[in-house]
Amino acid sequence: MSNLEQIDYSQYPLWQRELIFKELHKDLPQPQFAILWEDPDDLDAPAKVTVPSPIWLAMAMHGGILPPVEVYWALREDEAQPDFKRHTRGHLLHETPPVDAMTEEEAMEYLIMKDLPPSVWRDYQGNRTIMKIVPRNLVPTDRTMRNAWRITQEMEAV
Amino acid sequence: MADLIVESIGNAAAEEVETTYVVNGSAKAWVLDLIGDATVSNSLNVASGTDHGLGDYSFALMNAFVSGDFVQLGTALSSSDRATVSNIDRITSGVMAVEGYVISSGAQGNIAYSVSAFGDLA
Repeated sequence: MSNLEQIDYSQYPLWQRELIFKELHKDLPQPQFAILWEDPDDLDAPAKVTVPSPIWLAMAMHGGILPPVEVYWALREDEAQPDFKRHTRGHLLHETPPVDAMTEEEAMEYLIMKDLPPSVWRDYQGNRTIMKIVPRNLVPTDRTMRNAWRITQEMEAV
Repeated sequence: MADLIVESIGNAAAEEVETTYVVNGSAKAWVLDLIGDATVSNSLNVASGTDHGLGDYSFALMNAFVSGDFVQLGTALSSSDRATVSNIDRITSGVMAVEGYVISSGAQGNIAYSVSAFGDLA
């Protein structure tokens, strides 16, 4: 292991950590899983598919790089204010102690809380299944009817 | 890791530019989608891609911009009949977003493309 593998990423701004990590980690594989979700605030919209970037997932599983997801919540909350002009708490991205290594499942859960609307993963109380983590090979590659995609609703046997 | 702090950068012909120009003119995020479904084929400062539907893509950043007022440039790849348009309805300080169009029909469609963004990071 080179000296760079022992690097303390928390010393660097968040944007710089990826640049350092990239130097050591080339040709990263595509993630195995995708998040299928529907927006309860736009019921006519087709199902969406969210996939992590390979390097983000690798950094999440490495640990010591990404800030706690609560930092992103704080910035989202700031941007939602009617008088928002620019972020004043961006330093939280760089100064908050980073989270430890995650499993791929934990990383997907983190990504859900970071990048999907809270109305999907926190607030929804309807009966319809509006979010699933699935293997990417189950996502259709034929996009001819892409705008008709909906999440399959599994019915329990009566 | 060491820092190099200079006020300007120049070449052998004594042409110079202030480093603030270079810093502010460098892309702070970019993404390449070679498939046309928000798959991140290669990227800088991108945490995830979302395929919202036909020709409707967004990318969440790791390090947000200071606001949603950043410059975003999209380029359709490998076809003269494809174009990208920035989707301002989805853009936030932490999200880049584009729509892909088939020029001849005017309809949204699958395209391969790249997006880059310039501005001040938070």
